[in-house]
Amino acid sequence: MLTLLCFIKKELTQALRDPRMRFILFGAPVLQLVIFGYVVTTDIKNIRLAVVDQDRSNPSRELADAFFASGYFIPARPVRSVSEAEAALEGNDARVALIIPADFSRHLGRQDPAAVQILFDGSDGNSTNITKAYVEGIVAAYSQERMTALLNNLAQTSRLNLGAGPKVDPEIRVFYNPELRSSSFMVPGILCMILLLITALLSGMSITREKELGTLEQILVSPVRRIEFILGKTIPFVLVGLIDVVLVLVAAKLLFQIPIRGSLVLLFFSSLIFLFTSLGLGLFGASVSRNQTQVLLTIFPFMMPAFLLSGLFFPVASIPAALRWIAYINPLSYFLVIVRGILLKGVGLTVLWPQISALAVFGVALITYSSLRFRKRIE
Amino acid sequence: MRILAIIHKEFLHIRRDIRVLYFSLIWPVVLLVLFGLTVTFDVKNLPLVFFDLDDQPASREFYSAFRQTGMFNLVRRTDFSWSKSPGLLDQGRARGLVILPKGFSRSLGRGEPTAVQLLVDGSDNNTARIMLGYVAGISRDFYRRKLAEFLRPYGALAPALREPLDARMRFLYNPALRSENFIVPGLIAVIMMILGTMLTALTITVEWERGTMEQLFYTPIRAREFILGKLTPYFLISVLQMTLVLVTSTVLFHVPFRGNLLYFYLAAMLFMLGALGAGLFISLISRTQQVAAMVAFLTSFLPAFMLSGFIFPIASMPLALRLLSYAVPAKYFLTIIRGLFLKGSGLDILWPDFLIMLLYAAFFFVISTSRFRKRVA
Repeated sequence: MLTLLCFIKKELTQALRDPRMRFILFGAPVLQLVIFGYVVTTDIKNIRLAVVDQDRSNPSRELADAFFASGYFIPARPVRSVSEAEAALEGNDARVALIIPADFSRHLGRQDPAAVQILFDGSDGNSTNITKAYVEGIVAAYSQERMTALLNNLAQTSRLNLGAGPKVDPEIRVFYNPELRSSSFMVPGILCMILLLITALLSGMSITREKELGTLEQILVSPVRRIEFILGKTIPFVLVGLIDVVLVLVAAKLLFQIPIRGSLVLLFFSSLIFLFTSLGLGLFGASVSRNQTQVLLTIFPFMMPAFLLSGLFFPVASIPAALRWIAYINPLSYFLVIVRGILLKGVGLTVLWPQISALAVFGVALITYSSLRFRKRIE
Repeated sequence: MRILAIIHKEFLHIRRDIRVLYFSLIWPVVLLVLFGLTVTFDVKNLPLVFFDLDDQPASREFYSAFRQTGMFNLVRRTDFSWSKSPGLLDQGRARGLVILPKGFSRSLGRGEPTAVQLLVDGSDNNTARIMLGYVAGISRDFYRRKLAEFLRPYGALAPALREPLDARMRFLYNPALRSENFIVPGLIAVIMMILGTMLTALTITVEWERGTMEQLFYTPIRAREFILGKLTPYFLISVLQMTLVLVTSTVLFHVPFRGNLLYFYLAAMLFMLGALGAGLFISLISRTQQVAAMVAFLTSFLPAFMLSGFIFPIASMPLALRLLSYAVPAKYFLTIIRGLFLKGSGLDILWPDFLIMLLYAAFFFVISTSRFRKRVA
């Protein structure tokens, strides 16, 4: 026991000696949180809109104003013709162009459908989809307003009392994140990402470093037992990981006012279970590598798919069914559901036990396999 | 000829470890294929429970309007309890609940407005917003249809039912809004940025850690030769890799390539030189490989993924981050390859992006060289 404590102390001293390492362990997670929290917003603002108004009438100006009044659009550099608008789209000076033909107000006045053209820069994919939804909303609202006005007019002239009409009014209640803030969604995700990143990669590299520098032999001839070596190498990262959880939570609370609705104890407990998986991955990397470059090249290829196919950025349900199993064998997906569940929904074990058990199974299996493999390697 | 010796030595290192070759030649293609197939921003299959407490023709019609969007994974039920049903959101078994009250059809038939309840899981704000947009659209269309039915007896009002606007939307460069067409070029920028930085990030740190750097100092090698010698093998590998991802995107994902191939390679070379140079610089300033690996990851993946305009629109970010995005080479590379793949743009439009990437690559070459010299002295 004493040997183990000394070994952990040695590891911590070694890791915390280098100021760069201190920053990586404790500064970088908070920095990541801040950048992610501010960057990740799927609301699009300041979309540059080029307007070609060939009608130059009151209704055409009203339509263009409806776009700018929505708050999503800002005027692009003025264009005079359709070809200039197209050039602006190609040169990234505008993302959307609204083209109102010369006969617009004439058609409107006669209650014929008045055609307008809306050109999008389709190369900026995700934004284009969202912009399209904004445009549809604006067009629908403009149409609705004109239709209602006309209807009321006609009803008045024919002396009819129509009332409010057979309207369906959705009464919306948004749970867990009523203001629909991106940071509430992203910050729990960042917590998961940081834990995996720091513990898996660094623990694997730290073990292999001893191999690379030849100090592993020295340790093995010392009275340190194999299991103490493995524990001594992983426990410091458990500590670092849990400290990072606290740091990130405090920063998230202060900077982004993230709610913490559930039990913090459960959150720490599940983080601990997740660390089994994460350290198991690190140990696995170490067991198949001779040097640190190899550890990096072994673990890193797992990380990107783990991040992107976990529900961190987009829902697992949107992944095509044939490939959705990747998310189901990805421990990060379960951890994400747990962290978001505890922080945002305030749910506890009664709801989250399936995810926590899945995580525990992954963790125990992976760390047992890797430890055995690693022990065989060093014997 | 000293430079050839360095190149030769570096190639030996690469050859000795098959994982480097796997990482640099196979991994990017695997990732591109995997993400190209799975990453999608179309929100689909959202679990939605539809409580139809009215269970009349009009309410069933409203339900089928939801079905026709194809957006939702719908379950229709006719029983609701305030104590149990909202738990579906807690458990994540539904992303939203729609509740049609009793009397829904009756009020609509009388031409009166009627309320439906919509309970939404807001934790995923983006998905929630998309869902709200769909529900608004469905309700609006439903209203139009019901209004038309209601006004049928009053012929004089017919003109008011005609759609006043005929908005024709056209999507240039990607008319069907195929998601592969924008995800694949974006992925190329992200993956290649990581690859370039990671490949070189450890090469010099290894020499520091093992003490072979001192040995190098005793040889007559010059800083410029050393840096170029370290870069060249990885540069050649990454140009080969660019060819592989280009072929994968056009052949496998059918992303159109409308620009000039020569510009593609020019952009690829400049971009990779910058990424490899950044990795080399990280390698020079980090003492341990652990630090080098983490710094390389944080400075390549995060900016390329978040600040390049791949997914998150730069125009909506706060000013400080918008300024920071100008220092992200992936942003320029992404503009160029989107231009080349989809728009077929030429140098007349893209030259500023080329110029900045050239400056970026030159910057890292110069500071790496001077850093190396300082160490020697």
